[in-house]
Amino acid sequence: MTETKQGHRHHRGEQGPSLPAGERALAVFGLLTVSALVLLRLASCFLEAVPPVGLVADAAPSAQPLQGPDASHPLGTDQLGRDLLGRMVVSVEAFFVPGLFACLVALLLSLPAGALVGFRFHSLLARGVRGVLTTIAAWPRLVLVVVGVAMFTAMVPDPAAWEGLRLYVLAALVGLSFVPELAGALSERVQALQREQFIEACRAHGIGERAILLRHILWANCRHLVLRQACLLFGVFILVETSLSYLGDYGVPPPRPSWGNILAGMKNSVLHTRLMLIDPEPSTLAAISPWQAAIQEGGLLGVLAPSLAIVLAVGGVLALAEFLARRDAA
Amino acid sequence: MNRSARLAARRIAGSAGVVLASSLVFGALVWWAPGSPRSDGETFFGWMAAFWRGVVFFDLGRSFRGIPIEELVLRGAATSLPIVFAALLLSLSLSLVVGLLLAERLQPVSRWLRIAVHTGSLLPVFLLGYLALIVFAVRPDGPGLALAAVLVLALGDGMLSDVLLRVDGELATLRERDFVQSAKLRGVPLFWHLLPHLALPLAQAAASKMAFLLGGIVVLEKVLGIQGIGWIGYRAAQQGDFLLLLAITVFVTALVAFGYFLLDMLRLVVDPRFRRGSAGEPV
Repeated sequence: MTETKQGHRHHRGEQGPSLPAGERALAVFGLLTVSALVLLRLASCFLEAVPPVGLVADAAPSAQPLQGPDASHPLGTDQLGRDLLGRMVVSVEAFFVPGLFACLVALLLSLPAGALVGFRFHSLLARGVRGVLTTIAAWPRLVLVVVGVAMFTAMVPDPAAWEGLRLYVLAALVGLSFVPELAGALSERVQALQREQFIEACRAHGIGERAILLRHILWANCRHLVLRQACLLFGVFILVETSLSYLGDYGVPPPRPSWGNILAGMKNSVLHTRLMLIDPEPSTLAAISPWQAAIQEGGLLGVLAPSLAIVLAVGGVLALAEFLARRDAA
Repeated sequence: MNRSARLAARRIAGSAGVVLASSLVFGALVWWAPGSPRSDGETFFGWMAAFWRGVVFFDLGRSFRGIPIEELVLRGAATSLPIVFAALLLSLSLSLVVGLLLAERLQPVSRWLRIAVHTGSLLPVFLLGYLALIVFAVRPDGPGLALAAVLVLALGDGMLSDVLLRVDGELATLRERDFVQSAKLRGVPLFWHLLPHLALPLAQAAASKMAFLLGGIVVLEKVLGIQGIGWIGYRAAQQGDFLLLLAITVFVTALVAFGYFLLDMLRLVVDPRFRRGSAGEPV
């Protein structure tokens, strides 16, 4: 494609012949990750229906805590003797649907806001919306989420009964915190597009303002941007959910698993071993290396597996976002 | 009054409005939540006015633990803000080194470092903090704690990778400009020609990352056990000490708004288009 101006992109019929290698790698990695997440989410439904021993609830009495991998527990067991692999899979539930819900909230709020601010920048309503967006943007995301969830817990009469809803409140808040970013990017794009010639041509042809905004600006020229931001938001949501679950008060309520709280549960088994080895008896230090000790306790796998899962999931979703950004710029 | 002064005044008013509005919204939640600090016969706006009087005259009452709130906020800020600013400075200068200096001089090193930065930045702050605890055996009372905190905050949650992407994007457009092309033809080292043009984008990145870092510090301080403003705020949220939480959020939003205000003032000084008002209004 030689022409890169947006006006010419508008009514292009076919895609270019093939993608550059870097973009293809991003797309393959991103799509693989997303399909893996979808498959894991589906698999977790079956695990919920027929749970292996001690998957979600408290462990069976016979369970061995911090066991190494074997045939019945491919990743070993956690600090309470629950199957680690099963918990890793079920953890996808903690962010999959809530993450999509966060995207929905962000889109529902920022599409109208971004379009309005971009299309009617100087109108009174747009000024008001800009003020609201700036106010939301002044709140750090994690502060907004922690404060919001804390207020929610304080306001409902029986917090334990509302625990299931808490994750969706969290998701809505993360979505809300993303609105200034998404609406800002959208309004900038809408504003730039309005100066393009094809919009003037549309007006000259007597196409209505609403059709111009919806079809020719938003649908034809902004959908990659919106999709990209939605991917970014999904990645951010995974980070926020696992972070808060790791800290333990506002994330996924135990015993439900999340990659964050699995890590929080397993961390001490490794950390304590390691800290003991810093001030050790000289004889024990000579006998075992810290990593050996960690593996012997079965804790290392429990720390590595969720860490790797978080990095891969976030990395894959962000790779998809980067792919969409490059497609958008091409 | 000339145009610059008018613009500055408008920005001050705007920033104050943002802080006031966010304090009103959160204050309303606190006011109507159960266990609210209201006393008989007091109205919401009267209470808010008293709160703001407390902010101005440095008398906000006591926290649940009986410590004066303004003292807690200031003590927390004195612990946290050096970490935040150091992390900001570190990520900006690192992305300058990787994106500009090494990209000009040592292409292959820059490429590998870039991959390392983008991969390392995928790690969340809590994971990096935990890694710092076990791998480097950072002790809560040790000297390495502040260093580890700054490193973790500068890298985690995609911080460094995002700043680097911005620098790269800015440089990509800069390199196509005529003056860079002719400097390259004359064999002049490009670094000093490119650097001034990066000042404004870097300042913009710094201002917009301020809020991000102030959020990240909540997790960081919980994981590393640093008793800064994030730690105090998190505990206040847990205990339902909403007056303290309100004071902390007002402080944080004021800091973020002040960052954006400084950015606008810098623009006013550096960019003549902005002074004339032809560069468009920043959102």
